Amino acid sequence: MKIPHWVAGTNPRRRIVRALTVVLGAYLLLSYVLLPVRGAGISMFPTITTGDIKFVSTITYRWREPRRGDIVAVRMAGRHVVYLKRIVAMPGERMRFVKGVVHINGVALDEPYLQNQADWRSDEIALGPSEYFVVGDNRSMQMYEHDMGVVSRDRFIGPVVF
Amino acid sequence: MRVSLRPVALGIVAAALAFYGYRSLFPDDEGQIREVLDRVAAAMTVSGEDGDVGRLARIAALASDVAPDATVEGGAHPEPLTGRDAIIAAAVRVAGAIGDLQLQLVDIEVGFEAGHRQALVHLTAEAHFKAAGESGIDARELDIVFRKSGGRWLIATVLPVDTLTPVR
Repeated sequence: MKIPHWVAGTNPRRRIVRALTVVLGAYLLLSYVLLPVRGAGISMFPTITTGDIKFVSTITYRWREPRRGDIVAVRMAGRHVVYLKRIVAMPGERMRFVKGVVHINGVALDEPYLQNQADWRSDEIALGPSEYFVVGDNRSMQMYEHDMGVVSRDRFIGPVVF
Repeated sequence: MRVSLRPVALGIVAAALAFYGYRSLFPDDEGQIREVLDRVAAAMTVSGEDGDVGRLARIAALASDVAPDATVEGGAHPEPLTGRDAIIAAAVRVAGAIGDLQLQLVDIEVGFEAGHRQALVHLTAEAHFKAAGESGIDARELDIVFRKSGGRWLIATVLPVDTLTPVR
């Protein structure tokens, strides 16, 4: 494959500078703007499956608040290992599972992205001012096997963008 | 006037290498704690091809990094594991039950308390395992308290951290 002239150039020194700029730009982009994440496990099936590569925007939540339905990266101790989960309940809301369906303030939540729902049930919980409830899309698995729960806003790295 | 930057660059590289070498030979408190964590991860990383004796010897050697009265919470049992011997025995059981296990400790933050006599380490433990023909990944956020005793940093307490507060 022939490398375009405007990329390769003719001056070796400039070519090296150009290559280093591209590498540095890619490093900065993938470190500070778009965090690549590889899916592992079945809790987000069928939306995300094991081996899927997704990109998390680390800057989106600087100009807008998280929304219901966002798939978010939730950090553990840092960014090397994260949960990918969907936001289903927002700060200040009351949330519970009734026969596998999320109820927010007593009203069933429409979640068109779900395929099968097992009979999940839970006590109602009230979320605090900066608390969200996140859960995976695979509601067909056993509830006790599924990592989900209340998470504070400061644990969000950002939404999955593609 | 033309000034050559080569001696300056060489000096910076030499200083960096000297600093790295000094730190490797004489690690500070944080370096010593990270070395303990490296040993834990290496000892708990086992392959199906490893012999039982070598596997057990590596884990048993961790005893020198664990305080005699150490406690570990959040394991398979509701009650915390208490005491160095019980903790090492449990680690041996886990490694024996799982054919392949790769433990990685990442995102390590170290903070010091009580005049550098105690340290709180916050990290994520990620385990890739293969058992009964099935492979899987598990990750847990942990707080580990280290205590300095006799010039060595020893693991005193291991506590799980709930990243997501569960519902009932």
